[in-house]
Amino acid sequence: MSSFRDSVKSGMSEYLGELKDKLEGLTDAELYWQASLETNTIVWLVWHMARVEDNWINGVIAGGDSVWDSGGWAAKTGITSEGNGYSNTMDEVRVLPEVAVSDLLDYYDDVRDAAFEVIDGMSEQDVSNEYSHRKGTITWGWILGHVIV
Amino acid sequence: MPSFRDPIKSGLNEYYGKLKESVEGLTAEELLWQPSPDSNHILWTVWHMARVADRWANSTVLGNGELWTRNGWAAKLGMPEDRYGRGETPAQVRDFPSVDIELVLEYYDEAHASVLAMIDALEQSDLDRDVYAEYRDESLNIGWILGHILSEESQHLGQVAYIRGIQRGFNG
Repeated sequence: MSSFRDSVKSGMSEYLGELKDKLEGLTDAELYWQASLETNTIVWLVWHMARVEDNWINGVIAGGDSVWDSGGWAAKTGITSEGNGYSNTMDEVRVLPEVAVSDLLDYYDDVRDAAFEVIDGMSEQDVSNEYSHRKGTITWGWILGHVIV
Repeated sequence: MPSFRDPIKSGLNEYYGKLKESVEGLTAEELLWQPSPDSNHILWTVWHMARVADRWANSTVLGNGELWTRNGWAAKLGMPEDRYGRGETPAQVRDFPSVDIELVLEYYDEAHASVLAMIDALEQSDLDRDVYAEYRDESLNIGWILGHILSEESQHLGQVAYIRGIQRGFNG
């Protein structure tokens, strides 16, 4: 029987599936194109999306290492930035190293597998668990909603 | 009692709050600006997002008829009752009427509230139920629809914020 937990996972599956569709066939030039001097590139966005999900679910909720760290993805992709992209300057967006988007999607798939294990392991009660964040106290339930938004 | 309803509702409230921030202070010209001839503008996108929330909740899942028609929003905005946005051509987007964004957001407030109320009213046993979406000519599972609303609206929010960013720049 379906549950509200399944709806959360279904929304996550849907956006990752759509993301992959949108990347289909793009050239490197297109992946690194900026709509204006102050807009993010597609490749930066893909990296950031995966890092965000990884940090929130595998890092904060599971309380473990991110897949980025445990899987050695910094070395595999050559991206040395330690953060997840949050508050990057435009210069940081522009200097993201040339990376194969297929590698980023491999990383994203690993993040997703781990994240679904974490979500499957949560009890309904865990949804109200609190985490102290720079913006204030948030709940694990908020984190799951936030990752989709 | 906490439940996995909570992340869905929290995500819905978060995207909606961010959408309001993303349109704050935009001029009529900025709302109708298109980055390319084939891109949607912000006003069209926000209107379509409201229609999405309304149609999924009130028509497809609850079968009560859309607020768009039931509460007279189509008439208030001077738009056709069957206009929804899906599959529209670039010409239709370009010719979109310059409606008052505040009025669109009033409609959206009602649609958003109805989505949240629907989620509260749904039982877990409802989630496996298929409902027929006439305009898509397919039957869809209510559990899937809940995830889809969040995923679709979030994608559109990203488009709105990005189009604002192209015009206003970093933090603009």
